Amino acid sequence: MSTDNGLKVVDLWVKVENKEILKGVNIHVPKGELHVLMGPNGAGKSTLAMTLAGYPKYKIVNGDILLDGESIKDLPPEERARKGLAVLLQHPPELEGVRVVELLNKLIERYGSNTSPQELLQKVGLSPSMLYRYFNVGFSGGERKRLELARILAMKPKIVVMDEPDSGVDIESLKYIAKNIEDMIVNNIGVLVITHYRNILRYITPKRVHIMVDGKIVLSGGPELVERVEKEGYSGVVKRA
Amino acid sequence: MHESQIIKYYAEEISKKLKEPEWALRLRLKAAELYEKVPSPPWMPKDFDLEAFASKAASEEFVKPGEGEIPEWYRKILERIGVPEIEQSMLAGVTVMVNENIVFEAQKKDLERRGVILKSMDEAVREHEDIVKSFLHKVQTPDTHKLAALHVALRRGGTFVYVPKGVKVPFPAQAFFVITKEQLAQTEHTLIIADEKSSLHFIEGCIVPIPAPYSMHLGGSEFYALKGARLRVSSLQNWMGNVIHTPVKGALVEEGARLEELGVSMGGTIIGMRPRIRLVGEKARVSFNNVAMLKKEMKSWSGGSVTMEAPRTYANVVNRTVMLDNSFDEFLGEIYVKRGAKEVKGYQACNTLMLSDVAVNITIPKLISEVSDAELAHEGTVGKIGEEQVFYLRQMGFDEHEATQLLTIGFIDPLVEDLPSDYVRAIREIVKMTLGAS
Repeated sequence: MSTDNGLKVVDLWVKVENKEILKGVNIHVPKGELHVLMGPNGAGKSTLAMTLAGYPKYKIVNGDILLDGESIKDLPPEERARKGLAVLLQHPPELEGVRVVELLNKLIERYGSNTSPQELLQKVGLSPSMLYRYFNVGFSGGERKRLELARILAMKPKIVVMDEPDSGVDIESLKYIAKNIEDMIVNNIGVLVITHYRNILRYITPKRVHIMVDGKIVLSGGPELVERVEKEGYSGVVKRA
Repeated sequence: MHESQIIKYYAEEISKKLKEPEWALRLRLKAAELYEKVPSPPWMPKDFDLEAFASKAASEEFVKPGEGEIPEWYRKILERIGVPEIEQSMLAGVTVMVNENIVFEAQKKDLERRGVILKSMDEAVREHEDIVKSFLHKVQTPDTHKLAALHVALRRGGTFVYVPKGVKVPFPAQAFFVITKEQLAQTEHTLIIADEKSSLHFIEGCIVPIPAPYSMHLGGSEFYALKGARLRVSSLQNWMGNVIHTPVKGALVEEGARLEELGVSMGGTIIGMRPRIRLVGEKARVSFNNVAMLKKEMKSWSGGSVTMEAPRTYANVVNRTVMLDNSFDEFLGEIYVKRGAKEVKGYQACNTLMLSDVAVNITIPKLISEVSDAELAHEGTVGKIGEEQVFYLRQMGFDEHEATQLLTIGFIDPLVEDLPSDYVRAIREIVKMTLGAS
């Protein structure tokens, strides 16, 4: 297997409103592996997720983003998605007037997914009655994350980046999210979970854990890193590194 | 000759042609006289040629377009939109009568079995005098402005619907009108009366684009929901070409009755339409939704006026307008609470989606109350498509154009979602076509 397999972030520097937020991020998530990115508030985790998604306000000043060896850093968001990179947003907006069933059908058609909107909702444990609601409108925190998951499944991605899938969600939602992450790994999808709360780590075991502080990955290791962070806090872990 | 005399001349000609009873002619003549006294509406065409319009309205004959008269390019548009089945049969020439609202034959029989009277307006004036006389031009009155007076004086064609007491029509009744290139002046009148405790959903107009050269459409309508009745009326128009669309509309809602009105305007060059709705009985309710898509040099005067004349009445007026290019819209929403109308609730919203940097929108709310305990509110928003929403859709794989289409349709959808599904589909396709090919 080539070392270019999956998502590769190479020495990535990003400015937000002229302020440097990411200062040389390196990370490699091969397909079929689960990686977790942790770090204190303000470390730049969400900036990384939004930059990967192609958010136009975040400017890449240096470095590269590779998907299966191909640079995607200059591509618009829609082309990144079409090439197989899907990002679960931390705060997906409401789409008034756009029905769940309509948007899921469009995605299924676009990506040639062999599934139906009903099945997708079933996989994430949402009731079929939600098909006729407007996308995210009036959805609870947990329902929103589950719908994000459903639309990502419709996109048949190679790599999925999840920005805090466990924030503001109930236990049931958390279990559905964890189950779907496991399924993704089985289906050879590479998953990078960004988390601040660590709730989700009670249900899934990552292959690699990365710690981000002040715009850089300062430490990478196995799942045992999670426990060390629990005990020593970020500053303790980083100091000993 | 004075303007009123010109109008009288043609009003008499029309009345004679239609073999109308004396009282109907008197209505016309009174309106002709009023024409000179009442103000012009803001949407009065600047170069309006009264004599030309009146003589056209009086002289044009209603014709049936022949089988092969639908041009190929037009058929292509229809195919793309996916014309509602019922409109297709109309275009196939099954039941086409130009310049009159036409109801699908099969439906007509079903309605008649239920005791519903469904006639051309001209016939109804002659044959159902007993009903028509007490309603015609009672809520769409000639004293509103010049065009309202002109419509009353030159009324010709249109549809009359009467739903008897307690009769509930379980399917939407659908009627259409078409104009061909010969017709330049239209003054048809739709009169719908839902008698006590009856119910009806009436869909009028045509959502398929109607090709017409320069012409003026000065139709009128009156909707009556008598005690406890439920009346829904959906009016659709999608004129193609240089059409002035200025219908004069009025409605009256009695005690415990409910009127739900929906207007969808997709075409034309000048649109002037401010219905006047009166809530005259206790707990009368109205919901009036209006959707418009304005493009190029289109100018629109939208809004309406609701008068709450009885206690515990309820009004909900929502206007959603999509503006492109150099279009112009002035929304004037008036809710007027009369003395003695206790505990009323009136809400109006005017939401404008701007897809152009040069379009102009003016929103004027007017809430007037003569009582102290009225609950009235106005919400006005003018905005572009949300950047966050566009990004959200783009990172799912839709390009910017597709995202704009989806969100524009979403902006309109909440107001049209209750229409039969093939109409909703057709409206969506028209929005897509208006926003340009993807």
